[in-house]
Amino acid sequence: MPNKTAVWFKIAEQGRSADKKTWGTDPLTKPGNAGYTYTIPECIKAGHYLVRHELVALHDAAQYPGPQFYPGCHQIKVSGEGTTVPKSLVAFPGAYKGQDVIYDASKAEYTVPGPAVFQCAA
Amino acid sequence: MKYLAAVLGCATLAAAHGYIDNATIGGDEYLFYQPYLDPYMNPAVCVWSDLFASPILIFSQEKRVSRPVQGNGPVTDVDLLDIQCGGYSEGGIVGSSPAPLEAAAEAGSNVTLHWTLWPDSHFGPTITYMAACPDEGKISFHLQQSEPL
Repeated sequence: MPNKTAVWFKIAEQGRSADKKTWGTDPLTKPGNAGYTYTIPECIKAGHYLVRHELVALHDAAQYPGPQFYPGCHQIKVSGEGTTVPKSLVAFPGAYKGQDVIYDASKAEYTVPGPAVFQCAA
Repeated sequence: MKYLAAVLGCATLAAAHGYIDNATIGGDEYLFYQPYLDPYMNPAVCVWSDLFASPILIFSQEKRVSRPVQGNGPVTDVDLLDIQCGGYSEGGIVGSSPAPLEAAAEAGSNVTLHWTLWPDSHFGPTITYMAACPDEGKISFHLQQSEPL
């Protein structure tokens, strides 16, 4: 296990839509839904990777503790010609702090916790 | 108070949230770790082998590409190791543990994860991270590649 070493880079996030009506988890609440899809960044170097995917439930998240995290990890072997090794990394535990993960429904914006999403250079 | 906490804990579990049941990775289907089944699988069965003309043990526990999760309940303490890949530190299971297999996929390809039906009430974000295995061959999950289902 990576323990508390900073090894993680974020590859995808879906928070609240701009019109505040939908959340990342919404499609997963429909019976027979198509699931959640992420794309393995095209530029990353081939090799063995651990993927950490989570849903966060915010129905009781006005204060910390309150938000519910549902993390899980799977192991993939990535092939390809990419050469990029993402540099800006975070640790779990460590990436989230109590006050960063609360949800205040009265605020105009909701910010998904954690770092910015890694992007392959254009 | 301890009793009350235990009762509340059960109530939380009974509310049933979810876990990833299966996935499509690199175009192949994989069943993920089944928290209500895999831990209870008999790890070995004894069968007669004609080849060896003797009884042999066959390990029947399912091998997954996903790491164990401890049910469908949440992690609420962001400072616990459980926040990494799941776990149940309060119950004595700290964090997760490596899976025996890995799934092959090309960079740039899509991976689809199928959660058990998620409750409407539990709205929130979806977030995905990756970590490169730092030292191939040394640490790890450099394991045999999985046969797709």
